Amino acid sequence: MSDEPPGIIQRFRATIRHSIAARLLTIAGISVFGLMLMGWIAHAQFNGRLLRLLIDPEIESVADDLIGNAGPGLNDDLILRDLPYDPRYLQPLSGRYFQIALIREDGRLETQTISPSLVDAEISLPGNVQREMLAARAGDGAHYFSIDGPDGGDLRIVARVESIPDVQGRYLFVVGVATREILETAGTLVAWAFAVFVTFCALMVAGVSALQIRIGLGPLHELQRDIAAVRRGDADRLEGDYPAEIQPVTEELNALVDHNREVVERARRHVGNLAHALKTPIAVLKNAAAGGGEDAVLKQSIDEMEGFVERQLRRARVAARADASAGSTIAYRTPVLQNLEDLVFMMEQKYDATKAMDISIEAEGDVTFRGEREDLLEMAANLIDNACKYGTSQVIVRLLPSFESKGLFEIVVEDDGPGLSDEEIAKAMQRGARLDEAAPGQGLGLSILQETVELYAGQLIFERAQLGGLKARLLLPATD
Amino acid sequence: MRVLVVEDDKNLREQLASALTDAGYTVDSAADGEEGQFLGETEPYDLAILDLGLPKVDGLTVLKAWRKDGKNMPVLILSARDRWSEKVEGLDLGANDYVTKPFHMAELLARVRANVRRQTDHQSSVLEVGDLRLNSATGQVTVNGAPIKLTAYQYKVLDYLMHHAGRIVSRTELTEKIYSQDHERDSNTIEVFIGILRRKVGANRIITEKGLGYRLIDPAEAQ
Repeated sequence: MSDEPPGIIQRFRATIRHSIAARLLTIAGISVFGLMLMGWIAHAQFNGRLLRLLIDPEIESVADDLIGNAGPGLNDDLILRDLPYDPRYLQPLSGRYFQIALIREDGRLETQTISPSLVDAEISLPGNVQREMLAARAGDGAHYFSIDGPDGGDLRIVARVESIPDVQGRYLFVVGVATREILETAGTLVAWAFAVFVTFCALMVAGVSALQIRIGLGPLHELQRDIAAVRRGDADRLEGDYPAEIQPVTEELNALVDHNREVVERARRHVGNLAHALKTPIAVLKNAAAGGGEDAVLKQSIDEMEGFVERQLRRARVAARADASAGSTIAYRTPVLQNLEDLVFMMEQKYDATKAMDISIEAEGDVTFRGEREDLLEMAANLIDNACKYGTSQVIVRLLPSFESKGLFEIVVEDDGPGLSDEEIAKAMQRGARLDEAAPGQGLGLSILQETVELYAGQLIFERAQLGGLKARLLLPATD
Repeated sequence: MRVLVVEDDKNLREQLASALTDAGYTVDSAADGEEGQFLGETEPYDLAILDLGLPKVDGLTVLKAWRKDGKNMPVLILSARDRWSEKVEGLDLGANDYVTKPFHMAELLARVRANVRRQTDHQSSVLEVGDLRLNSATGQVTVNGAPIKLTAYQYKVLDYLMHHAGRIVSRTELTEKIYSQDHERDSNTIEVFIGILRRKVGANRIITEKGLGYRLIDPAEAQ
């Protein structure tokens, strides 16, 4: 069954379901269709009204005229002293006729006078008209009917039963107008007017729909842009001023965003706590493994665990930092030289027992880092630690206010170790380089360092050091 | 030599205690900050190993209390937290060294050895060569009144040179004295230490006697 191609209705339904514009257009189409239907009904109604409006007064007045002009003839019969003014009642088959008939005692009609326009034809009254009129009394007033005319077309007639003074009996006066011509002309005119009107309305509805889609759905596009901004991390929440109809959606979305952030935050905290909690047992395992036999597999596993824990913690830290700095624009000011000196002493201590490292600081003056102390320490420590790890006995840390690019200062860390090859340097300089991913717990820890540097729109450059080893240049924003 | 271990994890505490005992130290251990602080305040120790994440009273508070109380035994901080800013903070509070978990026991023992105060240092002695001053009771070194930060080995080298001020001390002699309990060390490391010390206390105070060794002098006197 499902193989069958979807019918047109299903496809239409699908379109409607998937497009608000299609929905609005459908509603507009239905409105236009309804409008046309109503117009058509009005048009039909209009014909009837047009008869009463255009024809009835005329034939009424002609009938009045005839009755006024009727008088006794020579034989006490009825004659017309004058004919209607309208010459069309005289022209043969002009479409305007009258007929005067005597109502005999036996209830039959005896035609007395016909309009010249009828030539020798007669208006034949249908049975129901005859019955109604025979039942009428003189002076009853006008009765209107639509009947078949002598020329085959529709005939609108007025019929009156009157007694004429000095004339015996009652007479039936009938005046008729063939409606076809009149209605056709008027109908065409009205049809045109109607067509123009409906077209105009349809265009209006289409235009309004288009505007509705554009203006009415505008906030949805705005919403989409704002959501994209949140996803990219450019904005924290949906802060735009939305219409009342969308407000509930944005509120829900904001709640969702907050909830997600909270979940991520909680997960990150869990990971952090877990990683920290693992460190002590790992230390115990490590010592236990070192104490017993030389189990290389065990030792390697412990080292790997240690590496993972380390990596996870650094990641969590960088992510937390990125979050914090995305949300706030608080300007931090961190003096650099004192922190570098503290750091260098830390490093001297770290390598004191295992390796004599001469770490010297060369600084012309102090600068102030526009950022957090913790980040400065992490970044600088990473570079100095690497330099100490790979250096032979000497590391130089230089603090330079950079002249090349304004607003940046430079921390240069050089060592006298084996350094990196040009290839390795190129690789390390690549954005997001993962020199250290291969061996957990080994390597330079560069990717995490890079992330922090990028956070501050800083730069990390590797070169060959004059001492022979690696020279790392860390460019960071300084305060003005 | 007495060492105090303050660590809440039972396994690690026992490992530390047994490793230190094996290395010839007398070990007291405490499982929480309160007990650790009390022991440190009441007993004379040559070194304390202090975990930071402790129940009842945290490690940094214990350290602060000790220093405030005038207890200046070397303190080696042991912590799972490895942010550099935290390490720097610990050192600012008066810790002498910082070891991050997980660690190699051998490395920890080496650091303990480097930091542990020698018996002789208990005699409150102040060495002075010109305006270079070394207080072995507090471990403080000053040049013209300004304090100099030295690591344990740097301190040992300077201490030895000052004890033998004006005399030529050979590299071998220094290596033997400084690394008496350690494995074979590259004599090159002495050169590095001399370089560091020259930078920290003034290059003209330590003279290289070619082929013989080093001599610490008072530059004001030499002129």
